[in-house]
Amino acid sequence: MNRVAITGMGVISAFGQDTASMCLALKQGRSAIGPLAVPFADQLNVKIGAQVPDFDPSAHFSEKQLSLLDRCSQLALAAARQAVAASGLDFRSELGVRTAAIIGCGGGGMVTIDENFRRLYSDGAKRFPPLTIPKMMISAPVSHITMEQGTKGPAFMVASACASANHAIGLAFQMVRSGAVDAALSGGTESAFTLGSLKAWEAMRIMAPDTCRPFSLGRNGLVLGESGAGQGAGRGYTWRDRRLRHDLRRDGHCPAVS
Amino acid sequence: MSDIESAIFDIVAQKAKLERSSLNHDTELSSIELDSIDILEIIFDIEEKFNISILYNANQSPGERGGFKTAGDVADFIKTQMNEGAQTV
Repeated sequence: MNRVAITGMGVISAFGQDTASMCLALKQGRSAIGPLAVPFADQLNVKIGAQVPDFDPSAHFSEKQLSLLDRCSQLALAAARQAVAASGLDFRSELGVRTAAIIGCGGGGMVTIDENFRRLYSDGAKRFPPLTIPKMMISAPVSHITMEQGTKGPAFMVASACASANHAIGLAFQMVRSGAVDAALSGGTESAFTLGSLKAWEAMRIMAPDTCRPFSLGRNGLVLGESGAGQGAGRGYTWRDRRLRHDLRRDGHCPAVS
Repeated sequence: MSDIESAIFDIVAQKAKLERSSLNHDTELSSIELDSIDILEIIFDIEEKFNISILYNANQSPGERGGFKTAGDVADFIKTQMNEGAQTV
């Protein structure tokens, strides 16, 4: 068994657009949950969320790139760039062939789905933009990461609801540890602050009115957030963290893997 | 140049981020860095502009740029479709 090191990390989250912002907030015990900033807030009962503020897609991607990128892919790519830069790894070498890319996502390109289906069903549109499918498919984030970073090893998404990113990172860890690959790009992404998505979540009657208190006796529901987070893992590099166990089991009761 | 051809060239120039005046019938798509995805988006923009449905199947149009070599090829294809009564939808 190989020893596995996390060689670089990146994150775009409601705390900010780098790992330093995230780490500082976690150390300070701050929450990123705040009032929902969406133009359709008056149609919702849910009033809070953890949105990524001030993420300007045009600062990260060209107009042509954006025609292919749902917001979940944008967040994933931006986080992956940070992680790869921090790792110092170059996947456009022999290493790329021996590198996996495994990303978790629960819903896929929800913003694209919501926007385009509304245009079709409600706004009288006669056709979809030609790149609607590659934007909305759940595999899009990992596809774009591999193209941009040059990895050519196993690449796939993991969809297991809120556990998606953890499962993806765990699988990447197992693949590096077993020697199936020499390195892995892994993490998770999600962005679903659309009217359709939020209404669907409301319908489940599980949304917290104030904040999220996971594992707390006084918990009263969940709060949606969005983020992209990536990490590069390889063996033989400087140790920053290690996981000795990874568990993929589920409870067997809930429709959502947890 | 017909109004339709002019409108098509407007869309091609916009997609290539070029001055309309720098584009002519013989401008090669490779020289203005348009690829097969751009062709799809150009066809979509034309469908939207003229409220028509153009029968174009990328699988039946092999090549890096959807089987088109020049901007004029794109315009000719679309004009032919429209002359043959491209479906209005």
